[in-house]
Amino acid sequence: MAQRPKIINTRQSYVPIDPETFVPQSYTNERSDAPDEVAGAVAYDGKNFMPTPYGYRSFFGLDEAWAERLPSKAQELVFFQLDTLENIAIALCEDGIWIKRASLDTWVHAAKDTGGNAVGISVDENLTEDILTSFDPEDLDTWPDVGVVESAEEVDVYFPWTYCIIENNFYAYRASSKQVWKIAAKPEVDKPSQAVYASREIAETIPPDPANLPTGVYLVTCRIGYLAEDSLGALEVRYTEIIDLAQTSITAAGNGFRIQFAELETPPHELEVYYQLDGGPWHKEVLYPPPVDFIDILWTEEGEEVEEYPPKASIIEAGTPTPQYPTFLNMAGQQGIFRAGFQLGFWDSANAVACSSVNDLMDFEPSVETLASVTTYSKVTGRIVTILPEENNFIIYATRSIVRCVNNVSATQQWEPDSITHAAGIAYPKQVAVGTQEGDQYAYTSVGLARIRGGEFEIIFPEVYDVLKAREEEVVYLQMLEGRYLFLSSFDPVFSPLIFEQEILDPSLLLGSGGGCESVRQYAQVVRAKGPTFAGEMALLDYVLSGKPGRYWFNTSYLNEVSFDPDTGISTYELVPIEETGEEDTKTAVLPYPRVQVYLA
Amino acid sequence: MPGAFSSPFLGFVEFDAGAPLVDPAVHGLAGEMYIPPSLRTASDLKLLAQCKSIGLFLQYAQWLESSGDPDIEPSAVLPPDYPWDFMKWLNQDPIIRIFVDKEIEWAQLETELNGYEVKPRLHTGNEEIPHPRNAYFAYATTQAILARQWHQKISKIKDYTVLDLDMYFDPRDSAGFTWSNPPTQVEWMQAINARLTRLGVFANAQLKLQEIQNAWLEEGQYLRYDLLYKLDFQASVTFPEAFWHWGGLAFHDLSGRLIEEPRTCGCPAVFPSLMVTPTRYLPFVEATNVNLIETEIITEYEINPPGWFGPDFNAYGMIFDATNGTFIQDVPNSFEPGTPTYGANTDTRELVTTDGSTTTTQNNAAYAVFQVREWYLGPQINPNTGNLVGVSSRPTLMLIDEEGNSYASSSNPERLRLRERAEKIAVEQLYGMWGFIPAWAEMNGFTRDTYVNFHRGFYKNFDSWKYWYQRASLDEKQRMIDFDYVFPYIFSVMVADDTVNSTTTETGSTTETTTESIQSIILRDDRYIMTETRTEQHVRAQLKLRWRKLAFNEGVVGNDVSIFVDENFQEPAINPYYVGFTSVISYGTEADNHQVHMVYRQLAVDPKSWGMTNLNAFELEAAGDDFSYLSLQALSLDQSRMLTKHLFAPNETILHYLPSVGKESLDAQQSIIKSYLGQLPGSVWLNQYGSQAPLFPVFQEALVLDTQLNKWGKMSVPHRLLVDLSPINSHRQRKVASSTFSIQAAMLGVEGELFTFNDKPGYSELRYGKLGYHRLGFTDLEEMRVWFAKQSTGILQIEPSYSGDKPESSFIQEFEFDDTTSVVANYSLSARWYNVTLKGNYDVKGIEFIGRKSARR
Repeated sequence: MAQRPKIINTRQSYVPIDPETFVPQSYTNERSDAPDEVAGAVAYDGKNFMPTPYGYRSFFGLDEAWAERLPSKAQELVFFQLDTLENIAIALCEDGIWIKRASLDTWVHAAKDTGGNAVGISVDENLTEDILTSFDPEDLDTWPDVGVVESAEEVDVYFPWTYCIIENNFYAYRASSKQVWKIAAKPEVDKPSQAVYASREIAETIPPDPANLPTGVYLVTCRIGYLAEDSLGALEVRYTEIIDLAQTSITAAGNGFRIQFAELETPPHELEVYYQLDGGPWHKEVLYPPPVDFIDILWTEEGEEVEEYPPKASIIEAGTPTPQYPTFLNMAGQQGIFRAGFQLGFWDSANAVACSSVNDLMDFEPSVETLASVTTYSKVTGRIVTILPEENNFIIYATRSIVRCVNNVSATQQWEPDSITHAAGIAYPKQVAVGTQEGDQYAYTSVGLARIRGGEFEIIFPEVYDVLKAREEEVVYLQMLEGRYLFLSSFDPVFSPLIFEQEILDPSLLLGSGGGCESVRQYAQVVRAKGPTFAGEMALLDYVLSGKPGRYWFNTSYLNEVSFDPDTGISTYELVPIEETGEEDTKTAVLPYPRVQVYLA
Repeated sequence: MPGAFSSPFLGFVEFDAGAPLVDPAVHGLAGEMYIPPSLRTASDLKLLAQCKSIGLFLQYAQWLESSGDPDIEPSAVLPPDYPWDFMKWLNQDPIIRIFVDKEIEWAQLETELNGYEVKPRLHTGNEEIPHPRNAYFAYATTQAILARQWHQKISKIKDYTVLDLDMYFDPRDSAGFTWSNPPTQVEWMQAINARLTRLGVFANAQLKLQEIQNAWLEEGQYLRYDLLYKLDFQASVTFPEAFWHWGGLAFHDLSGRLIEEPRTCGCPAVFPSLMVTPTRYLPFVEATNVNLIETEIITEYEINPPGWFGPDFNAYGMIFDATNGTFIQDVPNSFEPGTPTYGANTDTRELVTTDGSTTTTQNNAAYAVFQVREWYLGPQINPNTGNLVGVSSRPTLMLIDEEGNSYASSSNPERLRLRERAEKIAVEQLYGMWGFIPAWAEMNGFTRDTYVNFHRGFYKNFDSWKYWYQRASLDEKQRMIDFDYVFPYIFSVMVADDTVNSTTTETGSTTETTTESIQSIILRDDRYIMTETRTEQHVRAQLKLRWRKLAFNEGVVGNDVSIFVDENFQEPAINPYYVGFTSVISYGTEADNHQVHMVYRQLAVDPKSWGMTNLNAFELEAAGDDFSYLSLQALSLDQSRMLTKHLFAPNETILHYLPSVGKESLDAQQSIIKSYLGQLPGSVWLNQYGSQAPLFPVFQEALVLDTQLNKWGKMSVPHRLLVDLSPINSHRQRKVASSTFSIQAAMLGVEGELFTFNDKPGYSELRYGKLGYHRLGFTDLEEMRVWFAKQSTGILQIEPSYSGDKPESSFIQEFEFDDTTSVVANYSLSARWYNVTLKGNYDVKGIEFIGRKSARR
């Protein structure tokens, strides 16, 4: 029969199914096969490969890129470009934000946030130095009991991160925290909350002890300093903008000034007084009023001359996380953030969706003018898992629904909910990925792998979903890389290894199969070189019968056990031929049927 | 009875292979033999990651005959309240129930035909158990079936399990070895073995075993099956050999006590009706790449001692080479500041006066160099209770000087006084440098002394440090180690005698007065860079540990060394298929030490010989009189999970096999899971708390859909996160080497590494397949051509299937190709269909298949 060359079409995709379920392919239709016809062979099993236009290539070798490993467990790792074109890596981790600058080899713990600080979880720190040093480390009985957090329930709660980009600034939020972290792409002036007070006043006064201020006309301004935590939780002083206290004068030696602020919103920690005496140089005197909600303090001493006035506001370097504090919202309940058009959005544990003012991303006071709003959409069924922006709209992914909210500024409500599906939902935030456009989203939903494009819901690759769904660990996370490659990450190996048959045949069969032996005699010598074996004798018999080694015996005969000797562990078998109908290339087995002895232990 | 039943497998128990040893010397790891966690390399961690469970075996178990000799055959003792309810258990499993019913039916039929019931040969003790004899038979058969399945699963795993190890070995590990070039398999096995020993893996396994044994002994004299099964909880590995199968096993004594194991409550498995195809496997190590690597590690520390440096004092000779501007010591964590010396370092001044006379003044002086470190502890978890035991978030400044108590314990009061004074001066200086200390102290209600610890020795020998370190998590340990490298400040203190020396000498007409004052605090004024340079040598090897199936009489040649031709394979009294992995895991040479064999133990079952199946597992055999029942599981956790998954039908739980396990145990297990997983919203509508998933998962594989080519790919690398290298707010920055048709992306590895992808994977395969010309008969493949788009290196593997069901592993042929753009494979065996598998680094653009129709019937 003539040779038949065939070509396997490597342009066809690998089929991600269980290799055990892949049916054999038949290239050539014979009469007996007709009229069935199946596609040609394709790849159906493998590891670490990626498609090319013409076929497949091995891929996913690994090069370790950085000397230092990320010291914390990360939930998200993204690259963000600053205005200086520096790309920084931002890792949102279990203990806060870690940042790796392009200029540094090391990760820096840039912000501390374990989530839930709006809830009020605290850790007992009663472990004193005495206790620490007085017990015997080797003796368990002397271990200190203090500092034990008894309530395991509280520390069990995990607070996931969410992030978004608005106006080229990176915003990250950890659930139930009181602050949103902003990483700006360019340096910004640090603006602490504006000083809010009912009234301010400065008046010449006679203090209990004589003051040292010289007489003259004073031009006085001040700024209030608040102690605030920096991104790592350390205390630092942050100042308000300059507050004008007007011009006044001291008319008699020994007098000073009395400075009063009424109904301060935030208790001060420091009052920096700047003054100009008779048009001379600016001076600064720092006063420390008690931290209550008013200031009533005497200023009696001269201050230091300052070189420049007004004082420089502190600059926040680009790429530095700074906390921002939203107004109006109950932060303990907030679950995550998203970009809603050009506004910042929150959703909370009660499924309410809040959108910020268009003027101030941290202003959530509902207002028709600023478009800030808090809404619960009745079409959302189940708990909101995540919300993703879609151009000027956003899509709510809940556990049993997907709702698209369309921006319509002219309507009564800014966002018009439009149910995409009420039957499918996702369980975990990472079960949805965004493609090349925000309007092109992929979700691993409860009904299948879906593509959501322009509000249309379409199930894709149901067979792949079925395979993934059938595994022990059915959790699958999606991630889109380069806007093109959709990864379906799985806790389990996706498929089990291909199962091979376990029959063990004498390797000398292989000698004959390649024509390595010129004659039956030579073949027999090879097969019996280490003593007769069952398989070898079978193969030899087959050679005799068929004229070609290693061809037919396993199809034409079966073994019948004749006897067994338990003392020696030797079984005796006889070869029984299977009756065959005459077809081409087939020979009927003939006598003698040898009996062979087989060791089975 | 021919053949001894070898150790039955009880299950896996997880243990912490890398737990720090409290006293390594007890385990024969004195001195530098023990590699503490702080010194582990990444390779060590990978190696440790492979050692997660211990397989437990009953040792010396054997089938008993009723010989009547109480010495040989202990009488059967069941606990009076043993929860034995055969039918209840039977009903737990409908499949087995059907099977049993069918067996009963057959037995009844046979009874009718033969006129008598075929009685299984049972132990006399079994006469009292009230259930049908045939059920024994059914169960034995079922067990044999399960055993065969188990065997097949293991075979499958071993056929296609390649454990990739990218190892770095410090040459000192191999000091006792004679290395070949390249190193042979045996040498690598020995090196791995030695490393495991030094890491304390075996010691930890022993400790765990001791713990288990003690727990058993506390339970009383009976070895209860439910206790044994509890072992399976955490590993989630169950074993097909159900408990009733073990009836008749004798349990040798544990820890000097004789435990009489009930031997009559199960089926004496004398009726296995199925045979298992004997197969031998050989684990072997293949080193694909071996290099000797020299790494020069240069670390710079910038040190800014505040204050000033007194004149006339060469205080830094011990640690600072003023000429070269570098520190002299080797590595930071062995840094030892200058030795305080007394007497020998007396301050001697000579004054020469104008008339030539000399006056010498000598005073005692002490000087010491102090390191100041910030010290951060906690929070820490109590490993026993799982609770947080304390948080110390305050930095603690620590002054340390050289190790040694000679002066501290000195009876010389003058030295003691000098030391105290030096310390006091140092503390005062610290307060000056760290002005916030008093404020902190006030804030926290402490005294400022609280913030200064004195420790006269290595930092790591500081008791509290050790305490925390031994209890810290891996992450925390790493942080503590990292932190230990910080040198915030170094300064020296010199203390003189109380007197400030003022010497006036008058000679003749000339009077010269010299007032000498030694500064109490002497600090360097400038800042300097400490450069630390060290060279490390490693043997680096990329290893593959895989299982090679052996046919009869076959040996294996690996890496130029022929090994493991089992000489005893035909001796039935000894396990004929015993293939030891002793060269990898054996350790110790003395009789007292354990010999760990990773044994692929295969016993074929012959029903007539009354031999019994033993299943494949790895086993520790005790040498000498020490009896432990340990095996080191060579499979990774994933692989063992795979074993479990394929072992039984889905949705089976341990309750199917062990109804006596209480619900509270399962609840406890749930509680553990919950504490790990936290709470996430649910998407499924079952009676459960949401849908659980790990918070910081490690994914095993990923399917990749190229949404533009609409073709699938697959990534089989454990990963935590996939990372898009493009900034999320910018266009792509081509910082990563570009190659045609691939992703420029990265992933976060299991240990926090950032890996970028390349097209040279450690392992890759792609299987095209099930090619046949027609369905009636065979196809005779004669030639296979594969074309590559670029130079490729790897293996082309042809896998024929004769049965038409699965490919036949015995006839796999491999064709290597090396740096070529095409490969031609000539083949001559007929089959119903073929697979074509590409392995290695390839870029396939076309495959041709040339053959004939054959053997059509």
